[in-house]
Amino acid sequence: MIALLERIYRTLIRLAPPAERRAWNQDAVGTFRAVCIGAHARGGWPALLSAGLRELVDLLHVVIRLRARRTRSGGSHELDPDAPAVLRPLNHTPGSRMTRTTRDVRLAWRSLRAGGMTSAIAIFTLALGIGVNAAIFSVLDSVLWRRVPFRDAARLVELMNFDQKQKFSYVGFSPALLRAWRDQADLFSGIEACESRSLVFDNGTGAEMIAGAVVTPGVFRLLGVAAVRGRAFTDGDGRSGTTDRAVVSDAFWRQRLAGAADVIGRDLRVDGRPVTVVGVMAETFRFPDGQTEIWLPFDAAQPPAGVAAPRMLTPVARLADGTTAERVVAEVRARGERLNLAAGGPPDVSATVHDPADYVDQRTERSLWVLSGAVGFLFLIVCANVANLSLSRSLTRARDLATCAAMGASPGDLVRMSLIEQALLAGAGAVAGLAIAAGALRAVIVALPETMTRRTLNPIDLDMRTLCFMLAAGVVAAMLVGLTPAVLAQRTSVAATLSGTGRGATATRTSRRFRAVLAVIEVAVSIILLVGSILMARSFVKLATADPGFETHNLISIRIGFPSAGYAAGDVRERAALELVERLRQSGGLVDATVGGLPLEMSTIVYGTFEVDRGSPPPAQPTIVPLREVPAGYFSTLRLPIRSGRVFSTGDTTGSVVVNERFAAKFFPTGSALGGRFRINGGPWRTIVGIAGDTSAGTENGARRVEIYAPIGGGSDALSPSRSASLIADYKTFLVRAPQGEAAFAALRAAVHSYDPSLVIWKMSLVDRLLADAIARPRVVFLMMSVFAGLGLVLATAGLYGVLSCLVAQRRREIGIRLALGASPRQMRLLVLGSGLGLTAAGVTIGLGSAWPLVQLMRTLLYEVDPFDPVAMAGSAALLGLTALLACWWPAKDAMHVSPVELLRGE
Amino acid sequence: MPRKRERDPRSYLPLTPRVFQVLLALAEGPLHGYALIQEVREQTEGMIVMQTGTLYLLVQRLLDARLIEESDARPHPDEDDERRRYYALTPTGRAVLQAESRRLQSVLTAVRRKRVLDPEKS
Repeated sequence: MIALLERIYRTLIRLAPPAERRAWNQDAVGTFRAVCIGAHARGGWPALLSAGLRELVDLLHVVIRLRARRTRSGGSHELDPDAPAVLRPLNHTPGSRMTRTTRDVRLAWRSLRAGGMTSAIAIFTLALGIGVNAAIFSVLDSVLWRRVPFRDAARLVELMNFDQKQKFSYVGFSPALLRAWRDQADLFSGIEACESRSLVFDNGTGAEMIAGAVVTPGVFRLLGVAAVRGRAFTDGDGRSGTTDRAVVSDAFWRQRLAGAADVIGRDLRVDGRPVTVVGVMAETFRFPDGQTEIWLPFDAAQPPAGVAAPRMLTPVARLADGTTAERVVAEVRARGERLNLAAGGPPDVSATVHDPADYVDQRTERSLWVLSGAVGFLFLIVCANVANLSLSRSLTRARDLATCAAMGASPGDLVRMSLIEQALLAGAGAVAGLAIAAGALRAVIVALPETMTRRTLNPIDLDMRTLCFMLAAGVVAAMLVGLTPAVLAQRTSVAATLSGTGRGATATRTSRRFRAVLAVIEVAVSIILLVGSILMARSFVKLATADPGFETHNLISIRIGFPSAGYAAGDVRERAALELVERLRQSGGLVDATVGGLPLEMSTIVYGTFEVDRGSPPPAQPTIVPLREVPAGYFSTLRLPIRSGRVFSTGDTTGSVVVNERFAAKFFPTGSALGGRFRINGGPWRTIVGIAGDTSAGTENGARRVEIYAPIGGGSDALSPSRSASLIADYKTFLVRAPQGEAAFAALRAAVHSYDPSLVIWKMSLVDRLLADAIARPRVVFLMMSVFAGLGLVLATAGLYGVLSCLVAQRRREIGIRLALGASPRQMRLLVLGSGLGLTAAGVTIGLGSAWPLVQLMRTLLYEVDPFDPVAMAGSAALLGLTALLACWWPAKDAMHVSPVELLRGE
Repeated sequence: MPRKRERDPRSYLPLTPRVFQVLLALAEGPLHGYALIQEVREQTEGMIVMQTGTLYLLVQRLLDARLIEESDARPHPDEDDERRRYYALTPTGRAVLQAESRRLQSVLTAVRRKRVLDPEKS
């Protein structure tokens, strides 16, 4: 919390004139931190928050004063030591424009304070709207819009391979290819590269997996970043004899090395060899992604001897001076194939360039847009609500305004006063919104699944751009909220208001109409939000309750790394895996164990053209199909049903496979696939001996993939992701069904290590939890949408209630006369209820009409729910109708109890 | 550069309460920003609690007016933080503080003479 406040404080200081900024920066921030720590020690969180906010407001005040003086004195430093007034408060020259504005501001401030609770509610509502919007904005800005936070980012590109036949791009350059591109000096002034890697870190008590990267030493210079402690890599690192150096992240230093002051020179064991820490990067440095904790050097120009070279490098390049991006795109495509062949690469592969910031997957982008749309709508409701509040206040203030007018204020004066008051309101809302934004952003960062934010290279924080956004939101709010009362103020009839016969005045009638329109807008917008959130909720519930196709209860998945030392050969690993399964099965309390991975994780694959022996359609486009090598017991352990046929036996070498129903339907559309044969890329024929049920891949759209299960130990030709130069030869996922659930973890760990202590346990978790994690994004979108829709509903209800109670108050006389003339109280209640529900119906109709095109945009985010889901539409209309009824009930009851006698006596 | 003519300390009077309190807080020796805030709070028994922004604005003005200066005196290295700056009174600052104190003393003398604070009168 203190760090966050400090960051805001630092940002605010940046707004001060350069001289003060330089003079104060470090010292003032240090003092601010001390004040915060002191306040926290004295009174805990409340004291910290209050002290922090006071400090921020004070700094803002000081900055504005400095800036205001700077503009008026034409930029020169006004603090002349010879002027005695320097140590006294700033005096205003009488009669200037400044004085008038100051006076107006003071008046408006007084009027706001007089508003008491109403003003407080208005400010809080605005703060909520602005704060929540700012939080979502900063996520969007960081993930989607902002350039990567490196020097001259507009001229940075990344290179990828481009398969010219299949028309797709993929990562992975060899050092030779990198060197070939470095020679293209007319295109690039510098090319460096990195390769993400999972590394085994020995933390003293055991091995754990951390995310790291192998980088060419010049990458830090290319990006224009430096270490905060020690140094980043430079020329000379990563060659023979200098590979044992490491740069670590701020998080690694703080969490794994306990923020040790003597971190530089510290020896670590990474991937089985000793390395020495030479530098710590800044907290904000994210490259190649936000998870990377450690960087190891590799000099591609002078590769170190005895170290296997990385094969999956991603080059980052800076465009040469004088070239255009268009030219580079064309030239890279043109020269790619020649360079690739020369470097020993496969034929028909060229290269392509793309923006390093451009990595966000579509679903994340769409989710963020939907969320930002939702908070945008919430903002509209907030503005309508506050405008409504201001209107009801302006009615009670009609007398004040009329008095002002009678004493000579021009209509322009009245409008200005009203506008300034609203601007002040919006300003206060924006400042309070800052606190809400800070809190909301923390909540959002915690809530957002790591998959949505990992790829962004920008830190997600309240930066200058977000502050500007909040300022803009404040201005928009002031205009939206302020104009209506301002116009009404202008129309106030002095005589009518002062003589007390103002009830029929135009202003009242117009304002009533305005307020009705505002209420309709609120209802309409909130129904859009409701429809959106109900759609997401229904989709999520369907997704969460979807049948995965196998029994997940008490199933534990253990991902185990087989080290290159001792397990380099594939058949050795397979034999070891089967032995380990037996070992696990024999450890106490387990029901069953197997190896072969979960349907929801990407396993080994086969890639190529499928040729089917029976019913044979011609070989189609090359396809990627997951191929799992499993023991015979895999199906019974997972309780994955065999729909027809039988299971192969472990070690079967006759080419028997089991496929899933989707595979059968896709490649054998005409009849039973059982007994059918197929081969891939002209390889050996495989016979389908059994058909297993489909499994859900645990993805957000519930996709059910085509699957092939082959017997483990049968010497299959599946491709596995290359893990060159790593300590780990391969990973395998073991599945264990243990009735004691998580309590079995310790015993399982022990069983694995009793088999071989050198095996690295990467991840052990309950499959139920893995499935829940796989749908974290839709869950977050659904939860956040629900919160926003709920807020919208509450605000809209409050707005409706305000309109109706005001309506009853204004029409008291009319109601009294009607009652006196013989109308029944029940009729009066119906009158009020009718107008309330009429407004609601209008809002619902408009809202549903506008929701129609908007929900289309959500189509790709929905699972088994139609965007025009009648349940969502009817449900939200019903929900809103019910709350509207509640909001109308009390004003309607009031109308029943109007006493005509008392009313007429009062006349 | 020709040195500016020293101004008569009395030309700064009367000081605003905050300026006076800051100068007073520095009377016993150099302090850093946070210590200044605390010292002012203590010596006014909580009547004046300065916020960081206001303090630094004031410090800037006092530096510009050469009533205080950045001090080279550092505390014991164990307590020191190299980013911290320490501020100390200049001779002019001390003279202004004395002048203001004298002025306040004469005010106080008048108050005593007229027995404003006597319990019977209140």
